This record gives sequence, C-alpha cells and structure tokens, in this order.
Amino acid sequence: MSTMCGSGRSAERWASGAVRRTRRRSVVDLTPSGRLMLSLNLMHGAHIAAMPSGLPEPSVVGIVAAPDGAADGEWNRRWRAVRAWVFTTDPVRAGVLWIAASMLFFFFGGLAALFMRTELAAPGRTIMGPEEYLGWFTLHGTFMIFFFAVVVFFGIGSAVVPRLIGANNMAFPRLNALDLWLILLGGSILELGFLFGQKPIAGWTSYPPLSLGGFSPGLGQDWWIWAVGLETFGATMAGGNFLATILRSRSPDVPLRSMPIPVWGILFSSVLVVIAGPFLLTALGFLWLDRNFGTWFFAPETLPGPLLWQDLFWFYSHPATYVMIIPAFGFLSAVLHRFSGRSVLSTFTVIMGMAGVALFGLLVWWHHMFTTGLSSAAGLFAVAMTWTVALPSGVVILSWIASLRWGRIHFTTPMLFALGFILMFTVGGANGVFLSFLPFDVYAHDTYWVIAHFHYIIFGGTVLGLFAAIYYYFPIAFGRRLSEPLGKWHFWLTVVGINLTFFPMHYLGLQGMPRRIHDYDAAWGGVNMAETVGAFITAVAQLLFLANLAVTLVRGRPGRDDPWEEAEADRGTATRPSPRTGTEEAA
Amino acid sequence: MTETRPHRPDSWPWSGWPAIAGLSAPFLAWGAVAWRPMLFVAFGLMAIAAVGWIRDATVPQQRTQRVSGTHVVLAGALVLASSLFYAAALRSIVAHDLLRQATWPAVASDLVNVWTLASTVIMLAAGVAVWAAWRIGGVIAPMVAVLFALAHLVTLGVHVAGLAAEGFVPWEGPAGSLYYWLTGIHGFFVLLGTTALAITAWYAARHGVRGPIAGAALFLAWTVVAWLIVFALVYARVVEFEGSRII
Repeated sequence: MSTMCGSGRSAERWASGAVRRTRRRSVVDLTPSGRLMLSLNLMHGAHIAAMPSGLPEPSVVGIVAAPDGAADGEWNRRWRAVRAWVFTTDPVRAGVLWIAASMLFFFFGGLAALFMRTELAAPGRTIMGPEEYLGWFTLHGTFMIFFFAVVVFFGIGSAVVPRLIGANNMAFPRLNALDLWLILLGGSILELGFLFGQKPIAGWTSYPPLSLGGFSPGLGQDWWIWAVGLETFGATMAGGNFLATILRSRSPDVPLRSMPIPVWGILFSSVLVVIAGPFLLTALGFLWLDRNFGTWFFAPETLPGPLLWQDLFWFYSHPATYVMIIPAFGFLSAVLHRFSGRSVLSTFTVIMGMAGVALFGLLVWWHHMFTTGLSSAAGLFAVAMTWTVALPSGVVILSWIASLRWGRIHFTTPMLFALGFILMFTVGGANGVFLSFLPFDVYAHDTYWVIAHFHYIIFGGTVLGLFAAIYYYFPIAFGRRLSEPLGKWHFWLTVVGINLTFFPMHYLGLQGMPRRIHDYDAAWGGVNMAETVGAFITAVAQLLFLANLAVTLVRGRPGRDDPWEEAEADRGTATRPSPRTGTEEAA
Repeated sequence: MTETRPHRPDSWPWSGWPAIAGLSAPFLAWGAVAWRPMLFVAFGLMAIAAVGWIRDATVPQQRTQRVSGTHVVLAGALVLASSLFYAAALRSIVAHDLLRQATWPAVASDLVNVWTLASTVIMLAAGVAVWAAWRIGGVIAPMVAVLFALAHLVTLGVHVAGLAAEGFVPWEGPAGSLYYWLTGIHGFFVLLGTTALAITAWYAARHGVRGPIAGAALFLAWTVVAWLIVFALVYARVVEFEGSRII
C-alpha cells in the first residue's frame, strides 16, 4: 500500500490524457498528487499532472514504496521499502535523507556544545580538563560547520531545485546519492573515532603546528583530516552537480532570467563550493602528508609554513560561511513573500545582492589573518573587501524590509523564523563590521567577541533560516503541518536562548576573555553561568522541534494540497502565482 | 512546449553502487589512518562500485534526460576545458620553474625546460585535436583525448625524472614537497578528467545522448578552474616568501 496523495478523479484525468499544461505564471490546476511539486511549480505552472490510473499513488516523498505483488512476502515488502530509501536516486528522497543526516550531526554538535557550556558554567574545572575540552570543542565546530551548516541546504536543494527548474532529476542522480553517503559516513568515522578515544584537539580550524604530529600525536587528528576531507569532497561534487543541473537540465520553459530566487541561492552557493572546495582538500592532503610522511608543507621551521595552511583553509572556510547563508537568503525570500502577501521589492536587486555576496565572499579570507603579520597592502585589501561584502548583504536585507513595509504580515512559524533571521543576521553583520576594522580585530581576535559574531551569523542566520524553510516546506512535502503552537514555542525559546547565550559574549570579548580555553577569571563567572543557562534553553527548544516532528509524522492530520492556503484563507487573502520565489503573491 | 511527468519517487531506479562507493570511503580512511590492509578492502569496493555504476549509467534509461542545444554547448564546454588545459600547461612551463628559481636556486639555470615545453605543445594540440575529432566522429574523440593526456604525462614524467636525477627530491624541504605533490595531484587530475571526458564522449557517440555529457564537461571545467586557483595561490604564496627555505 502506498500513502495516499492521489485521487480517482486525477487518475482519470491522467488516463484520458487531459494533463493540464498551463502557461508560465498562470494558475495551475492543483491535483492532490505530488503536493510538493505542485506547490513548488505554482510559479511555473508546468510539469504537473495527476497520477495514472492503476499505478501506485505515491506520497510526495514515497514514505511507502512500490506496490506489492501478491506473491511477495512480508520481508520482500520490507526490503523494497528500505531499498527504495537507502539506495534511492530520487532527488526528493535523497534530499530528505540529506537533511536528516545533517540534522543528526547538528544534534551531535549541539550535545558537544552543552558539554562545553557545562564546563564553562563556573570558573575552574567543572566536568572536564583542558584536553577533553579541546576535544569537545573540535567536535562541536567540525560537526556544526562541515557536516551541518555547509551541506544542509544542499539537501533542501536536492528536494526542491529540480522541480523548481522543471528538471526530472539532478543531472547526476547517483552522484547525488554518493555525496550523501560521503557526508554521512565521513561524520560517522569522526564520531566513532572520538567515542573510541581518538580525539582531535586542534579545533575545527586545525592550525599547524598544533595539528602536526608533535602537538597532536595519536590518530585523532588523522581521523579528522579524513572525515572533513570526505565531507568536502562530497560537498564539492554536490556543488558541481547543482551547477550542471541548474545550467544544463532546466526546462526550456525556465530561462535563466526566470529562475526563482531559491534556485539562484543554490546556484551561487554551488559556484562558491566548487571553486573553494579544492583548496581545503589540498590543505587537508598536505596536512596528512606532513603528519605521516615527513613532508614540509606546514612545518613551523619554514615560511610560509603554517601561514600557507591558513591561506588555504580560509580560502575555503570563509566562503563556506556564504555557502551556508546564501541559500538561506533564497528560501527566506520565498517565506517572506508567502506570508507578507507581497513579492520581494526588487527580485533583481536580491539576486544581484546574493551574487555580490558570493563574489566578494571569495576575496575576504585574509581578514581571518590580520594578526599573522600580513603586509599593509594585504591588510588594507582585506579590510576593503570585508566592508564591500557588507554592502550586498545590506541590500538584500533592506529589500526584504521594504517588501514587508506594505505587506500584510501573517505570523506563522516559518514567518517568525524568517523575521528572527533578519534581526539576528543583522546583529551578526553589525558586530562583524567591528571585526573588519584591523585595529579592533587585533584586540578582539582571540576573544569571545568573535564567538558572538560567528554564532549570530551561523545560528541566528543559517539555523533560523533553515527552520523557516523546514516549517514552510514540511507540510508541502509531507501533507501535514507541523504544530503551530509547538513551533512558536520552538521559535521563542530558540531566540531567547541564543540571545542569552551569545549576546553577553560581546561583553566578555571586550573584557578580553580568551576563546578556546576551558577556564577563565572568576570575575566572569556570573555572565558565563547566564550563557550556559541560555545554551540549555536553546537545547530544550530543539527538543521541542524534534517532538513536533515526531508527533506530526505519527499523528499529524493530513491537510490540504497546500496547507498554507488555509492560513491565507483565514485572513482572506487571495493569491496569485509569483514566478520568482516559488510562492504565491497577494492579489 | 514540452511535457514532463509528475514526480514519482519510484520512477527512478534504485542503485546500490553509490552506497557501495560511499562505503569504501571509511575503509579508505581506516586504511590510511590505522590499518593498511583496509586499503585493499576500500579499493575492492571502489572497483566493484565503478563497474556497477558504469553498467547502470549505460542503460537506455538515461535517454530520458532532457536534451536542448547540447551539441553547441558540448563543443563550447570542450573548448573551454581545452583552454583551461592550455592555461595549466603554461603554468607548467612558467610556474614550476619560477618556483624552482625561487626555492631551489641550484637547479634554476634552465628557465624553460624542453620537456615542459613539449608537454605544453602536446596539451595545446590536444584541445584542438579532441574538438576536431568530436566534429569528425564522436568515437574517435575519446581515443584522441586519452592519447594526448598520456603523452602529456609522459613528457612531464621525463622532466620530473630529470629533476630527481639532479637531486631535487620530494623530501628535500618545502620546495620539493610542494613541487612534487602539486604536480602529482595535477597530473592525476588531468588524467582522471580526460578519462572522464573520454568515457562521456564515447557514451555520447554510442547512445546519441548529449544532455548529461555537456553537464559532465561543465562539471570538469569548473573543477579545473578551481585547481588552477589552488596552484596560483600556493605558488604566489611561496614565491612571496622568497623560497620557503629552512630558517
């Protein structure tokens, strides 16, 4: 049996050949089957049809797989159901698995953060010593950056992009599946190595010489190199796959100029990861050779030595921040559009803003190296580029705000997360501008100010943007809306938690509290305790999200084809399709 | 006006080969990090996955991919990839010797080595030859691509052997480390990329399918761009420090 999303009427229409082919930008004749595709294609009005009579009526993501033959036993049916997911080449299923794998690492990374915050709750040794702290710190940063934030939007992209551009699948469906496996297994070997006592302690940036054999003996650092290498290899190939899909597999009805904003977001993100990914792969390869075969790439006895690692590492890892955030820009544009009833003020401006962020994002890696003795010319270049990259980001934010100004805002959970994104990301951008001033950076570089900036961008930006996208697309994909009350609890607790955790870090940074250290001056004990409480509030909020997911998947009531229409009906807002955000626009 | 089908998750054939290829990755890491015999397991799994993957990818199912204006784009992509190879070859003349001059003055007497020059000429010819072969008959193109790639690597190998005979070896300090590993990785990448192009060109000629092929060419071109930037950055950084000599 399959889960139901189809109907007899639609099957008859399909069988009779009455597949509706509408013109782009026209209203699509909705049918129950293929909710996700239908909703995603509202702005294109194409590629939608009812399901054939006599064939299985699939759920959107095919929770239950193929029809069962009479001769098949229970085990065969189970095997087919498992196989349909584990060995899938379908972009939507792969995307769902990808998101699930990324979220798994998000929760592992979050667990590590809780251990760290518990240690930092009071000065002195609380639950762990310095080496254990460095281990958890490394695990937290590695999981959150490489295995969650960089790749999670590619999961959403896999599920959404092919249909937004009228493609049947990714250009390379098997490569898409392989990328998923590389990321999942890469993270797993790091986690297993850690559990078996092989802890990397050089941090997620793994600067030499700390990451070389002399300071990081044992195999933990080697496991880290291979785990991150597998993830980066998978992400780079995924970027290439998205490029090929978007540039070559689009429907002829979807010219480049008509692509929805979320697709542009994935496109720019893919360009970044494909250009920058090999840098980190190269650096990881060199580091492994230095540790195991006596080469001299990063040896501290040489020049540039360790600085070469920083060049290569940051040439990838700074653009990686934009790989995380630019797709969020795209999906947020869709959410803001849908729940404000107004299209983005200037689609062209937003797309150009994202392009500017991507372009200048490639040129700012030196601002991570202000304290390494850069020449004044290089330092000035980094400062100028960092200021420049703030401009297109600001343009995007202002476009959103201007769009909201005359809209009828509907405070659904995804909209709340989207608004939270705007606020938190703006705070993160503003405190980042401080760091772009070279003299201030020299003072604050190794302090908690950087932690505050980074987490406002990543948690306040990427994570809130991700939740906005999940809350928005989940009912479209699964036909069941996540609980709004639980969602709103999730949002408010998250916002309170992250602000309680990260805002006081500005103060600690200005006071000079060093980062990456498990101990600190007793005078900062109260503030640190407050931050730890904030971290646990944030964790409780994420548990609410998990509970929301579980309850909705098990007990959720199937809704309409496009569940968000109910919300719009409640406020009496008619909608018409918009070609650029994958949503509908108030008439 | 084209019609496309509704999304049906089960309409895409399942394939275990990506999972097996992915499974080889932890074994590869295990072998590299802790226990060398695991490398054999990893390579075995990779070989199995590669064979199965290629068999999977050559079934007529692939013909369902959409095709539009691909011939022109494919030719453009091949020319683009070839021109990037030219740039890589020019780098092999200038950058390598620049690096040697800056980092290892003992062997910096010959700015342009005859073997790197030959290697560059071969790559210059390769781009035109592969493109021409594709226009004449698709089946010839893959053979031409592989032959030229091999010739490029052989001439480069002769050059490297000469350097080694002079005493410029990988473990001779940072210059050796950079020179040999970057050149080796680059050579591996060129061979792998050319082989991939050759396979896809053969596949295109055999099945008359062009959509995925152009995608493959684009994919390769993008990654080649990335490698060029890696080289440029590393060399510029090393030369900036005038030689990364041991201090």
